[in-house]
Amino acid sequence: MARVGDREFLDSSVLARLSRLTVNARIPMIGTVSGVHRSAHRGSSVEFAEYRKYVPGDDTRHVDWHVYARSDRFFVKEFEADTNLRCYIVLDASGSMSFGAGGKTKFDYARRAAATLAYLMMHQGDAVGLLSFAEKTVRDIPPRNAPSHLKNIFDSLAETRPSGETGIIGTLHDLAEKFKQRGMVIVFSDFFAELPALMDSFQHMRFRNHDLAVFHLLDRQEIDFRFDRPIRFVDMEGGPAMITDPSIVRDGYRRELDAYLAGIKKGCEEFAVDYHRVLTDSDYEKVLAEFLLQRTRKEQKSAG
Amino acid sequence: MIFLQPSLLWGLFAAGVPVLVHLLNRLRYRSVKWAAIMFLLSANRSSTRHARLRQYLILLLRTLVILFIVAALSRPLTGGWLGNLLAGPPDTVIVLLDRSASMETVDPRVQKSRRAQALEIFSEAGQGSARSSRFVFIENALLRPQELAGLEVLGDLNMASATDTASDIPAMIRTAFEYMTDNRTGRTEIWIASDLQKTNWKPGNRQWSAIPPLIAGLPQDVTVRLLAMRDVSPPDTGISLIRTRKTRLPDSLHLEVTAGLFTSESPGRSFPVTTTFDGARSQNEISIQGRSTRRTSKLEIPPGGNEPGWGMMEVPPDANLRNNACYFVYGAPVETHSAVFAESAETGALLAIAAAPDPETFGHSSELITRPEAGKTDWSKASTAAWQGKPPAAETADSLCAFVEAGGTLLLMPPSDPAGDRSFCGLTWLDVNTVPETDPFRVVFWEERSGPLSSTSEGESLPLGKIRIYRRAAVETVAVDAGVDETAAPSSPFWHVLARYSDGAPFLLRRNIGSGAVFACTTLPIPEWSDLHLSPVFLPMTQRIIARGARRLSNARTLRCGRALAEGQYSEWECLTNPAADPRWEAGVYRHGVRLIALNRPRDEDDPAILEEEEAVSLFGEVNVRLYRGKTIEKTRGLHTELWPYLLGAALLCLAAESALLLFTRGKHRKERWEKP
Repeated sequence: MARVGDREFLDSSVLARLSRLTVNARIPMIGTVSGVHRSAHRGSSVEFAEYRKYVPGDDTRHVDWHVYARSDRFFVKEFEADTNLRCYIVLDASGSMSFGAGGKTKFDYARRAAATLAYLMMHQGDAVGLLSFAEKTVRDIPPRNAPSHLKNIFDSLAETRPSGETGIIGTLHDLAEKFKQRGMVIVFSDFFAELPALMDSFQHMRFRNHDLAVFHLLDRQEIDFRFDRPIRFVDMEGGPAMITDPSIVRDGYRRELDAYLAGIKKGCEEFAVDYHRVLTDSDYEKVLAEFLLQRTRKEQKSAG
Repeated sequence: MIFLQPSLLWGLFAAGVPVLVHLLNRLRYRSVKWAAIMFLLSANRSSTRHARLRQYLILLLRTLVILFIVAALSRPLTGGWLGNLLAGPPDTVIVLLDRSASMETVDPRVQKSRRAQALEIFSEAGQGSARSSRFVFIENALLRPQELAGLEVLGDLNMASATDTASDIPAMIRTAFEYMTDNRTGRTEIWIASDLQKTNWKPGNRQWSAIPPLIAGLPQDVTVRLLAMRDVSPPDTGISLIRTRKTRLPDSLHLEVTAGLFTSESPGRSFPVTTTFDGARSQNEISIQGRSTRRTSKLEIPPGGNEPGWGMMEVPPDANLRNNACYFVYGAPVETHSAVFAESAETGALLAIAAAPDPETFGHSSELITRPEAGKTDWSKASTAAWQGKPPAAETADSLCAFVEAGGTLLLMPPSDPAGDRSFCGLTWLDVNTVPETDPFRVVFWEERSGPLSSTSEGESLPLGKIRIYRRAAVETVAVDAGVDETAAPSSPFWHVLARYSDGAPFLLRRNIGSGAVFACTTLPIPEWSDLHLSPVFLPMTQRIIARGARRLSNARTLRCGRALAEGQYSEWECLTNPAADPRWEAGVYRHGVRLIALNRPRDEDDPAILEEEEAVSLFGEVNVRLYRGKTIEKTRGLHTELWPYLLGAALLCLAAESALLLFTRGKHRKERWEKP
């Protein structure tokens, strides 16, 4: 992996390959600067959007005289306004994110993916922010579009050490309230929280018209649960330890996990959350590429 | 249940090893940091009952495997021939062996007699259980319970050897019952080996209605195991003595010997019969049409006085050597004389007639004497004396006792008014009991094997039960039951009861004094007292008492094997036909002083009638009987059943079940991994 600067979580070759792709929002954005994303506003633009009846005060330069000639009525042309994206990258820094085999934890994976996305968006002119949380917010860097801002984000990513309980639900609710302008929220977490409350937070985020994308990070061991002897399971978020015979609880564990995964997927579909389940032994470049391409295809479909 | 290797039972503690390993495994856990703890908590709460159950089941199976293996190594034994699994061996085993002549029939397949096979089976059945059970042996000849250390000695036991006797199975069972009650045995098994010959089993004998209910009513469990030794009946031919009679011709004296021949082979065959008489042998071919025939041979007695002589008749040896010969003796004729004293003239007359019913023909005579004459009578010339009335005066009493001691027999009958009488020969007449004619006293038990009330030579019982008795005298004496110990000392202080009424009071008693005996009948043969004089009992009873008394006057006798025990002093007998023969139960010609005695196999031993197995079982009534016949005997040998094969099988089953559970568990997990996305 070719590091970018002294950032071990950035790979220049990956960045080079992924930079050909655009990070697209699925819904129109409201931005202050012209960018590559569709804007929710109608304004000066090369692309005609629609006609609107003239009301006193409109700019008469936009009156379509051809329509008046045909209909004796005054109509004004509306145009699409391209604007930039404001994106919040939300990174789970609770203790459970430090789980992983061979020293490669879920947090490492999330950090790598988050840094790559931040870099890509910054270079396409979008504003990116970072919100890392555990039980409470660890670091909040609001979205900005400035080269030095990216350094702040990378510094934060490098300094953050996952620990403590997860407060994802409260964090998402707070963010939904704080992040007033329509934007994009990308969450990297294992989402080990109560499902109904989690869905509530997703729904809140969507209520605010944010484009919510979630990367559900899981380790292979958490899926397979391959243990033979009695194990003392120590909660990585500081909860009480549990001694049990895996052979007894294996079936029940898998059943609970499967139900949870199915529920979270169903809930994301219901609330139009862009859900991606990622195993940490998969290649993050492919995961991000798929994420970006999927959005590009949707963007093209909606434009056509 | 007992164990042959009880010390290995300490290994049962090893059954705790799987549990210990299970617990240690639970303690030897490793710590793992886990992120998805919320799912573990949910799973642990509802952690499937099935999974836990499966785990405990596996643990249980592993524990059981060790338990079964250790138990098998300790070699547990169960009781009985495939008997009660948990009951253990019985406290007492009473072995009843039918040693009758018919049991000497040889099975051609194994070249062993039925008796020998039975002994082998018993010996093997009792192996290894000497510590746990008490063994008692009863055979038909002596009817004396003998305790054994183990059954492996049976083959060497003289009392288990071959005999020429008949069996009385009901009497053997009664002896076993008396042993159980006298010794208060625990759980008891009665093992019987017999060829189910009907004349031995006597299905009509009244003891079958009395003894089994008593056995069934005992507090301890009693089980009868019946070995029916009738698997094979090879061809057999035999000869038996029917009678001998002297006939006098003008110039010579002959002995007519009537013998009976029987065969199980095809009719019409001829058999050579060899006769040995007075040192000379002759042979004749006799054809048997049908199954049996009789042949009378007339043998000339050498002239020269009253010396006794003997002879024998033989047929060729076959499957049963015990019925191939019969023996006869002859001696000087004996004229019996009976002296009768009776207070009742009627009784005296009847006794005199009974003692000499046909003086001209049989050479019997009798005389009636008065009380004054009694003191002067030379009793030594009489064979029998009869005394009805109050006891004699002291002098007469002494002479009568001397007469009995010398071998004579004395018959006592009660006086009409016995109150205040003295004791005579240890017996005192008490009050006379009277009952209405509509409800007379009945005799329900009498000694049939020997004595004045024994069955006829054809095996028929005397009809004592039909005698109607309206008056009887009570007696005061020390009395014991007869028939248990025929080998009592010639002189005994006890009166032996030979017959009893339904209420247990004695009808006829006997006391042996010296070489003779005193008999006491508690009723009179006159109409006011009973119809004894009208029954076919009084005459044979009287004649037998006389015949016993006349023995001392004869120098030749013919007896049935087994009856010699009643003669006493058989240890002084010398067998002329087989020096090693035992006079207690082996046929032959014996010499006792100047007398010759021919002991023959009882004729009813030649009766081929066999009791059906189901009928034999039914005779025992409510008593638990297990029948073994033929091949089942081979399969069910052994007093105990070793359980180790079954325990090892159970251990293997548990291992298989444990493997199945483990494989099921692993297979389920493998399938789940393939199904995971």
